[in-house]
Amino acid sequence: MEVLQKFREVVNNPHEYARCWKERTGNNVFGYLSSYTPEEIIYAANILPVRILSSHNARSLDATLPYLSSTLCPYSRGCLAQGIGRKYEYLDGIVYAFECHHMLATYSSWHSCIPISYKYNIYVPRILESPFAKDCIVKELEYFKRSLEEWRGQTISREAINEAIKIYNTNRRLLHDFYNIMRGDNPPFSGVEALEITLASQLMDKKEHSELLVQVLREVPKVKHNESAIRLMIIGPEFDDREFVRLTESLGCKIVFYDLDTGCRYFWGEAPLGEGELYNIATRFVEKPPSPTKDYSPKPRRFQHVLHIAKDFRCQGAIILQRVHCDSYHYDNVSLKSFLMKNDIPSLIVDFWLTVSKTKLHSLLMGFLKEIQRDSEVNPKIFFNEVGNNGPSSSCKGRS
Amino acid sequence: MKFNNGKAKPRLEYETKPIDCWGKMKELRRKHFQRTWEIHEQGGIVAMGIYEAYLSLTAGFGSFANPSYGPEFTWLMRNPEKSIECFEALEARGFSSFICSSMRLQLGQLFMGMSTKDPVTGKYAKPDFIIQWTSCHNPTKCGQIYSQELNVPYLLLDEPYKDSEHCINYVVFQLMEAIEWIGKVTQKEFNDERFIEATRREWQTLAIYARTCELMKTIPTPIDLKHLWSLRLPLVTMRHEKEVLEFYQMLIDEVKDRVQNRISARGFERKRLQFEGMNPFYDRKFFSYPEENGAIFVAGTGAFGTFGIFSIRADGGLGPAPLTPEEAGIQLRTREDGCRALATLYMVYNPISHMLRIIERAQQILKTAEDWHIDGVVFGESSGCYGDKVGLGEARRRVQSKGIANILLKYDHTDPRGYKNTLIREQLLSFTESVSSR
Repeated sequence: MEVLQKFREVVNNPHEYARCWKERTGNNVFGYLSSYTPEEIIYAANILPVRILSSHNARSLDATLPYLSSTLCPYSRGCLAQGIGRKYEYLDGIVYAFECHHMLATYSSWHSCIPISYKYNIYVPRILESPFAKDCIVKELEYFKRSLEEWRGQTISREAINEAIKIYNTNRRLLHDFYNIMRGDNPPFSGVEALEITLASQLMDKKEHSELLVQVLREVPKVKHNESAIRLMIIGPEFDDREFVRLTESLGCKIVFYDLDTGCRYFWGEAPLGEGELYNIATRFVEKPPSPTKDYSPKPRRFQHVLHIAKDFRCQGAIILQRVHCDSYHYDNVSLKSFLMKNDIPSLIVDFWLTVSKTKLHSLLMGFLKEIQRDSEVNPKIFFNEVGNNGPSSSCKGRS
Repeated sequence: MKFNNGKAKPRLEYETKPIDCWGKMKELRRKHFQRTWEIHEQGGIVAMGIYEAYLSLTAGFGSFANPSYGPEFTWLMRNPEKSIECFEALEARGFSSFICSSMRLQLGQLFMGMSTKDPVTGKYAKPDFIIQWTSCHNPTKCGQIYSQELNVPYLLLDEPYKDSEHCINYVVFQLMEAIEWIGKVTQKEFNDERFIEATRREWQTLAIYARTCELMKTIPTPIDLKHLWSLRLPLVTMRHEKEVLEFYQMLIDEVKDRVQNRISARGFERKRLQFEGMNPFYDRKFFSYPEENGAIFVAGTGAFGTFGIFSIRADGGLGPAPLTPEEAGIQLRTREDGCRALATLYMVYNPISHMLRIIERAQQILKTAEDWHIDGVVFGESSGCYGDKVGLGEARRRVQSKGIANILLKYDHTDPRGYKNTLIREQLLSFTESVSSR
């Protein structure tokens, strides 16, 4: 499907897309670091918000040592490494909506060491269930909007924000529709393609992404269905290692859902429409599936959401990605695994640093898949291919 | 230079003597520990958590005990082989080592049944509830697990790292709601007058402690950081109490007297050092190593700012905070006034609440080095404390840019496995030798 290639191109080279967009429209581009960023406000100001993704090159992290400890989250260090390496020179601003202190350190060091015209930090309450959290968020958004207007020298109208919310909601709805296809029998898209579509949404103008996605959804019946495979979901923090997904699927699986910060949690749920546009954005933040740093109740909301998805998408297992130094997830993962097991969803915790090491992946997954196959009523063919030693394929470029 | 059991001992240059109120500090510490196991019999409540701020909240309900997440933390730090058992107990349950090592120790105590049991008498003291401020997500996540395992209600209080009006209001509303919540859970009545008095004392105690820290700018310093690490302990869980306020009033009077009479902390002060970060709690000699070269630690924003309150100057340095809420323009008449005073106390004046204002914190560290006449800064980066080390890199860059000598030490602050005290000692000695004397 030719249109899928367009998503892949954006994910392979997000900087080229952003630079072209900037040149084409004459507007600014902002980078953001968390999925609680109020992109609608930025978009309403005719600025393109793009997610800053981490480097995949371990050596590039050395450049962050004067600013960030080597024992902080490597993903957040990788984001700063991208900035220091001048990959994001075209950015006019950087925005960080608080999610964890590792990324806060990246944001702080970014504007300390990389010249940038605009920067803003939004406090998003940690306890989103608090009855007072929404009002706090609304106030933060008001200050952010005001700050942006001062920088631009132009007000951002309520109509523009409402229009942006509609555009964003449309994109979220289309992504939901796409994942409804992944929920079905024999989804015609690979997990890599699903991840690329999801990542591209965070790197592109939402209108353009939606236009391409509409084409994908229209052309679905024409695509030849793949053979059945073990259905898995991936759970974890920010993650965009497509090579990992490709290799996992080469062993006879299909990744049908990504409960990741850069996956489905990013677009899940729409902002309400109508009066009080900032309140509506805040409502979406409070109601969307939380990450561990926003979920502290004794019966974590997050676990219920993951289980619901696992059942709804008929996942036969879950891969729980556990990044070294990503401390908040480490607290949850032991309980999450136990919770899923009690609900008949076998899960495998995969430790990794920046990207998942190929050498251990094969043996790790083989044991897990055999366990699922043994327990599953369906007996799909599992292809016990050797994991290739030629590095990532040219179609799935890692970031240097 | 004299020699004492193979270790060099610097010649005394100043008069020195022990601190007179040291005994009172130890008495208060013992009281805190005993209280945990006796409070229920006395009709009080046990509020468990890293509950080291906003203590007047529970004081409004009467006496309470605050045993952190495990009353044996200090004992475990003095017995590293036992702390290793706790770490291993946690690892056996599948938890990784990439979480806060203090919390790993606390969780290890939980799974070994140590958190709720008096090691001396065997008495149990199940907490009435878990209470946790969210300044760092590690204790908050730890509290979540404690609440699940002990089947005890969990009170979470979110403290933003910004101190704008709406953020302070957010905290005030939570405090008001928390009072109702605690009342329902404990079936105890809240006394507004008692709460207001406790709030005023909490404010005063922290302000007086901070002014005591400021006296350490004097050369020679009247007390050093080693003294301070012990002298701050009653503040941790009892800063709202009359007896503790009186202790710190006594302390500051004694320290002022030492300043006036040039009585120094250790008798020598060839070099003045600052410590930033987390020290290895199990190495009780850590702050003593540089003494062999006549150097002592006289400052640290961690020791100052965790339990002291300061006004942040325009240049980012630490200045004196108002001594009372009234001095800060807050009249304490109602419950809401008390909540607002507490929110202002911590969010505006307590540096640890600003820990995640990374650039601001870095500037505070730099200015502290200048204001306390520091010759060298020791940065202690613990692999096991994510909240603290997020700002150390930026701080170190600023200190270096001003030409202030500094060194970065790496270890885990509660997990002794892999720690080499000889290496740390040699690093500190080499560093202090290289630091120019005044």
